[in-house]
Amino acid sequence: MKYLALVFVALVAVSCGENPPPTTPYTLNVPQGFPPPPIPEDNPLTVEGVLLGRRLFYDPILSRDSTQSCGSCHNTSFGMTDHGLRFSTGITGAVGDRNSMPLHNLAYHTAFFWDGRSPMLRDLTLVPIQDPREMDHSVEGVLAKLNASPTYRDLFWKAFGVKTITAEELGLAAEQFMLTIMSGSSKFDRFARGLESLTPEEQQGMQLFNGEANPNSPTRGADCFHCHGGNLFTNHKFMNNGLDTVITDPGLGGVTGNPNDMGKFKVPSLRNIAYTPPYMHDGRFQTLMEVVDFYNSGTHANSPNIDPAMGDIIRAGGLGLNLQERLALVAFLNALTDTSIESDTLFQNPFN
Amino acid sequence: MRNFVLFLATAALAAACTPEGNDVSFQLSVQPKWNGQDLAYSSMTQVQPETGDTFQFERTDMILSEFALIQADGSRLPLVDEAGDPIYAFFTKGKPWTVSIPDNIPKAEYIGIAFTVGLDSARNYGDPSVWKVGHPLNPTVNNLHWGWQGGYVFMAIEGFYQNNGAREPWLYHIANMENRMPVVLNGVLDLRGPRRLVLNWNAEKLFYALHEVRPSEDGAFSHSSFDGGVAHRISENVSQSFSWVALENLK
Repeated sequence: MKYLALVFVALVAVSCGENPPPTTPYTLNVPQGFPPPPIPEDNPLTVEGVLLGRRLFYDPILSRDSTQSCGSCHNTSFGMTDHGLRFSTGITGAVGDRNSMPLHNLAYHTAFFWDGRSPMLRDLTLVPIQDPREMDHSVEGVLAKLNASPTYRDLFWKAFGVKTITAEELGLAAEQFMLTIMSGSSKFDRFARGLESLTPEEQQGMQLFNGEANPNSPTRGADCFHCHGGNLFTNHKFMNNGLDTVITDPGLGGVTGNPNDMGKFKVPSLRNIAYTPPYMHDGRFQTLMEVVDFYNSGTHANSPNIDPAMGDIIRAGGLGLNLQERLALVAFLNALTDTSIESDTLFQNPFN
Repeated sequence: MRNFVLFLATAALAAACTPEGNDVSFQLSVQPKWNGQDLAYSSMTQVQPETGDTFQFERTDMILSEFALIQADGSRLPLVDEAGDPIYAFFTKGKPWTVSIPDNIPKAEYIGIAFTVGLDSARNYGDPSVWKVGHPLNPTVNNLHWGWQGGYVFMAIEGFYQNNGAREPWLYHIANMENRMPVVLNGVLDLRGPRRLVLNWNAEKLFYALHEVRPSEDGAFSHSSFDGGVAHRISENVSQSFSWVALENLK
């Protein structure tokens, strides 16, 4: 009888021990002037979840041979992109075909990757793990490694209250970390808050950036703001900006199957653009000046599905900016650089 | 038996004590149309009946505000949300064009409805970061805030048109306070019970309501400045582009 009572007490103790410890809410540092970010209701930010997500982001355990992490191709010193490379090289030496995208202010995005294949950030994480040109692993393989790790079992228990790690918690943890990577401390932001001045060249560039390319207007404009406007410097849309006359990469059309989407790619934010060469979905332009030159005189009017917003520029035969104006535009783009993304310890590799 | 009678009595008393509400809910539903048919996007099939121009629509985004019911004496009753704040709406391709007003409208027969495509000055030039997640004026919801230049684009319509056989883009972004688009629709609006008012947005009227607008002649692009007045003419057409369809019971 005493033995039975002991078993009962032990069972109660075990069952009481099943309750995970309470999590600590994570306070997101939203830059001044940014709208409130839509954090997924089913994945509230917690200190435990964010730190776990960061650890996973930088842990090469996610790749098949444990040599590459997410951070390998999304480096803070390069605006969360891949070291100025046109395409990233995976663990087998295979090379991708699209330029590594920056990972800041993702809380505001509603579709991920150049072609929008992932509607949620939590899904994004699982794609490179399984891509043979990237981490060349399987979700099952990653989960086996994580579940074999007492450290990860403990961290997932504390963050999500699970004893067995599944793809769901893996995605949620990575999502939490990536949601916290906010960038809104550039020179432009300090100028907008009245804390710093822009140089005359940067001011001119800003006026060009926000001005219409309208031959009837008394002021000059480069029409950048239509697609890269607002505080996030993107309209979050998928557009064809007239790069090619023949579509070789379907972009969004490859995901939707809609012929009207062929050749459309995600409009990237121009925040930290100086950090993230080369440019465009295929990294064809090495410098910002090359990009400006493209819009100035290189767009293709007969590109299939070209966006109507490009019409004004194309009708005018390009922006028609002179060299000094193009340099001013580049100077303003450089003022969108936020060095805090490189120095903020919250975003850094915890294994270093 | 005694318990049953007691139960019935209690139920009857409860029903009798429940006051019949003095307020009703109301829903506004807008259907994007072209010449009476559903507006088709990404299809070069929309022929303007007056000008003969053929259009393809890619984008029809608009911000609406200043919703009000017109009372029998001609005064306006502003519509507000649960918190008593003004109602705003953002209409875009692929999502329902519906505005729901909670149970706070006095039961009555109204004689019309009014709203504005656009915003008042305070909202237009105010800090856009104050709007909560999902609010129609949150810039990440509508993508119509001009950012550093300040203010919202009230309506952004874009697409292509046939110009002498060539497919060419058109784009009209209607902004600035002088281009606010007030809409007034008169009709019997019996709100003595919950109702849904169905309206049509007749997009063909953008190009021929008060003013004829032809992209090939009047300019295919406007951001509401230095455009020869085309944006303003379209804005006046927009005010005439909504029509009353039906008042339905709301279940």
